[in-house]
Amino acid sequence: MSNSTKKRNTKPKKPDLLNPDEWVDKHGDYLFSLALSQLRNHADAENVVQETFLSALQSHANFLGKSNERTWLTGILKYKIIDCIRNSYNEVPITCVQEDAEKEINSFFAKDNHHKKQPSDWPAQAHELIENQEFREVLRDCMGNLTRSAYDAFHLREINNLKSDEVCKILNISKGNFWVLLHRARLRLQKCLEINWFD
Amino acid sequence: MNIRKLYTKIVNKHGIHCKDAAQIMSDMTERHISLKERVLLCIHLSICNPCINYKKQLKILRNIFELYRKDEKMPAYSLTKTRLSIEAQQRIKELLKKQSRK
Repeated sequence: MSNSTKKRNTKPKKPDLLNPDEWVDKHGDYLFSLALSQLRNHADAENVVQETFLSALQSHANFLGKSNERTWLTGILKYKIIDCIRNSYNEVPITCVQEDAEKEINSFFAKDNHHKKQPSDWPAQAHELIENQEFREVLRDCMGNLTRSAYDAFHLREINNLKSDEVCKILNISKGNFWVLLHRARLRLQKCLEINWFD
Repeated sequence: MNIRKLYTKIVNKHGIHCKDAAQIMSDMTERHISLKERVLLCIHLSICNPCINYKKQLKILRNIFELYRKDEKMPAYSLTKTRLSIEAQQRIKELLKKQSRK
């Protein structure tokens, strides 16, 4: 942080940035919370945080103090999280998307293909909702109820804001299957919010 | 039978239903929606209030996550601040020390 006082065009001195103990103390919990919220697995989250710090150490010369230390580390973490997700789906590909999804999607609709529980008119705007701590907690719990593949599809698309094509590559699935996963995640999430918040 | 009722009956019989409409509405942000799908969806929405609500809900949800992305103080929807375990902290510190000596 101290290098904000330095002149921009002088190369940052390495010793200023090389303070690993301080990095872990200052940013460890933050990065871990962020990783855990996406990966939902303690071991994986610890691992990506470790990887992030190690990468940061190797590439600290590239860090010219343009952004603050935390933003820089968060940027590296995001890549590491996506690598971790990609590797897990390369090892164990998602199967049965169509069959599983069809079953679940059907559970939201009656035999005549109309909604079983009719979606209601949510009397609120997005910005009002997220200012409400209790709503955020309900949303978090509803997100927590998603299956792993639906959660990853939804998170990468809506929160990481990646394009469909990129998400398909990471999840190692076809576009058709991705759309189904996403649709399923949205149905489930909206129903959960409806029951736990809007009813 | 009045015209509205007749129209609803025809659309219900020959058009798409909520299940297909919901998939198309979800796909709208992901892929090109064909003209045929657009027309079918429009006609369905003209008789189905729950689906109009669902469409609004999709938009609210998308806006919520857009706001989350913009707010750096509130990373994702993460609320539970978790702590890195002492063991993990120690391990990472050791590793970093080792690495930085190289």
